[in-house]
Amino acid sequence: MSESISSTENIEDYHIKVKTQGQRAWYRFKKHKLAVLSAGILGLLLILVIFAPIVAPFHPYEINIESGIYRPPSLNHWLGTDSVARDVWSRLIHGGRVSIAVGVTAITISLFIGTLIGCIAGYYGGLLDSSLMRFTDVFLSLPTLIIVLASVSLLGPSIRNLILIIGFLGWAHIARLVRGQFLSLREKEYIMAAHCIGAQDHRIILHHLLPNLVGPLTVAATFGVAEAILLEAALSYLGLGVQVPTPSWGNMLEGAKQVSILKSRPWIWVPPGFMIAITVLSINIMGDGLRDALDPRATED
Amino acid sequence: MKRYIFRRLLVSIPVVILITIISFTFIELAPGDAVSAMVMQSSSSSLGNISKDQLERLREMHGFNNPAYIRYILWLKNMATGNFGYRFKDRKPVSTLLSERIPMTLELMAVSLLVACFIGISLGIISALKQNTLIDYVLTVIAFGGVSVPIFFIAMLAIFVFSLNLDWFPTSGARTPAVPFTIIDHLHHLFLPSLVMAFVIMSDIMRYARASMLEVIKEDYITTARAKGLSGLQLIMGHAFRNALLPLITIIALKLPWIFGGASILETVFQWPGLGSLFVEAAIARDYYIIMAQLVVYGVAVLAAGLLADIAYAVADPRIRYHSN
Repeated sequence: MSESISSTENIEDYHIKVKTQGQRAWYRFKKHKLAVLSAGILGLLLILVIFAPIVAPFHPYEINIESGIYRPPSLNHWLGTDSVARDVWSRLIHGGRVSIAVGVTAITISLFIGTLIGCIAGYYGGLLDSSLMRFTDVFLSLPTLIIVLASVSLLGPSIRNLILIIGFLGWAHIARLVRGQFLSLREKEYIMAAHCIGAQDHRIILHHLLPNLVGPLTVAATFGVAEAILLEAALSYLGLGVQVPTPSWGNMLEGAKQVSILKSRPWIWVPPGFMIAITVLSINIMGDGLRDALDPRATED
Repeated sequence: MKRYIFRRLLVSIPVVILITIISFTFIELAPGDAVSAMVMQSSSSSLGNISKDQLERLREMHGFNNPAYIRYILWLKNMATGNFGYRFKDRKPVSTLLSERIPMTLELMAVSLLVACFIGISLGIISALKQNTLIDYVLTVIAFGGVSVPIFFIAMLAIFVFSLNLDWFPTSGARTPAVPFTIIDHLHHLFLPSLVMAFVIMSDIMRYARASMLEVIKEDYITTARAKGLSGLQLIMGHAFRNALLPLITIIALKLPWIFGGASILETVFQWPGLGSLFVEAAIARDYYIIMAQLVVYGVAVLAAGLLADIAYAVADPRIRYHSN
C-alpha cells in the first residue's frame, strides 16, 4: 500500500482498502484469464479423478467379453474397449488417479528434501553451504529421464519405486531456490532482532524465514507436478513405470507401439495422450499465473 | 583464452572421475549381479538350468569376487583401452554399439537443434516485439504446448498424420531395409523425427528468447538507438539481437540433459538407431554394461556442452575476458 494518508477523514476509507497478501495475490491471479481457465479445468479433472469409482461405468480391470476387444466408441463404451475388452473411459479416469497421485506424491518428497537441504545450506552458509551446493549442482546437471530409466531398470518397475525415484531426483532446483532466498533474508534486520531476543535456530528457520518462501515454493511445486506427470507417462509408456493391469495415462499409450493400433484404433491412444497434454498444459499455465500473482515485488494496479 | 580452456579441462577431470564412480556404484547397488543377469539372458536354450557351483565359478572368472574398488579400477582400465564390455543378448561389444549409435544421435540432435534455434529465436523475437498482441498469445500457447505435451504423443500424432494417413514419410528406422543405402532415403527417414524434436526444443527456446528480448529492449541503449533514428530490423539486428542472444547460449547448453532425455524416447518411438533407443533397450533388458557405459557417455557429453557454452559465450561477448589470475 503506497498511497499516503492525506487527511484524517480518509482514514476510514484507507482501512477498507487494506487487503491481505492472499487477497492481493488472488486479485492478480484473477487478471490472468488463461491461468484462471486452467485452474478451472484442473478443478474439473480433479473432481472427475477423485470420484472415479462413482463416475466410471465399469471397473478398470473388468473384462467385458460380451462387448468384444478393440470396439470403437459406442453408447455403452464411450471410448471403446482395449485389447482385453476393458472399458477405455473407465480406465482413463482411474488412470488419471494414478498419474496425478504419482506426480503429487513425488513432488512432496522433492519439496521436503529440497527445503531441508536449502535451509541448512542457506542458513548456516560457509563450508557446509558450498559442499551442499556442489552436490546440488551435480544433481541439477543430471539428465533426469536417463537417470530415472537407469534407476527403474535396477530397482524394478513399480508405482512405489517410480514415486521414490522421481521424488529423490527432483529436489535440486528447490534446494537452490530456498538457499538463495535464505542467503538474502538472513541478513535482514528482523532476523537479527530475532537472534537478539534469543530465538533458537529452528524457530528462526521455521517461523521467520520459511513463511517467506510459501509463494515461490508453491510455484516450484506446481511446475514440479507437471514435470513428474510427464516423467511417469514416459516411463509407463516405455513399460518401465506403472504396470498393467493398473491403468495410468502413460501405460494406456503403450498399446500404440503397434502400428496397427496407431493407425486404425485411435480411441485407444488419443484419449490418454490428450489427458496428459491438457493436464500438464493447465498446470504449467496455472503455475505461470501463480508465479506472477505470488511475486511479492509485483505492484498492484 | 587458451589458459582458461586448459584450466576448465583440468577442473573437469575430477568431475569425470566422479561420474564414473557414480555409474559404477549405481550398478553395484543393483539387486542381483551382472553374472546372474548375463546367464539369464544369454542362455535361454541349452544352458537353461545352471548350478550354484557353476554360477560361482563364472563369477570368479569374470572377477566379480574381487573387492569393489579393484573391480572399479579394472573397469576404468578396460574403458581406457576401449573395452566397455558387451551386450548380453548377442555379445556385441559395447564400444562397437556406441560407435554405430553416437553418429546417428548426433545427426538427429544437430539437425533438430539448428532448426529449433533458428525458428525458436525468430519466433521469440517476433513474440517479444508484438507483446500482448494476438500473435504473441498464439505463439505463447504453442510454446506452452510444446513443453507440456509428452514428446512421444507428439511423435505418435506426427506418425499418425504424416506417415500412416498421408504416407509422406516412413514410420520408423533410419533407412529402408533391404535396399542399398542412399542419402536421399536416409534424409527421408530423418525428416519426421527431427521435425518433432525440433518442435519441442523450439518451444522451449522461444520462451527464453522472448523473455530475453523483452529484457533487452527496455535497456537505455535501445532508447538511445531509437532516439538516434533507428527502427525496425536495423535496431533489432544491430543493437538488441546480440545481447538478447547471449543468455540463450548458456540456456541451450543447460538444456542438453533434458534434450538427451527427450531424444531417448523419441528415438524409441521412431526406432531411430541412436544412443537413446539403445539406452532404453538396455534399461528394459537390464543390460548393465551398456547402462554403465552410457551413463559415462552422457555425463561427459553434458560436461563438454557446459564447457563449449562457456567458450561460445566468451567468443560472443567481448566484455568477458578470462584472466589467468
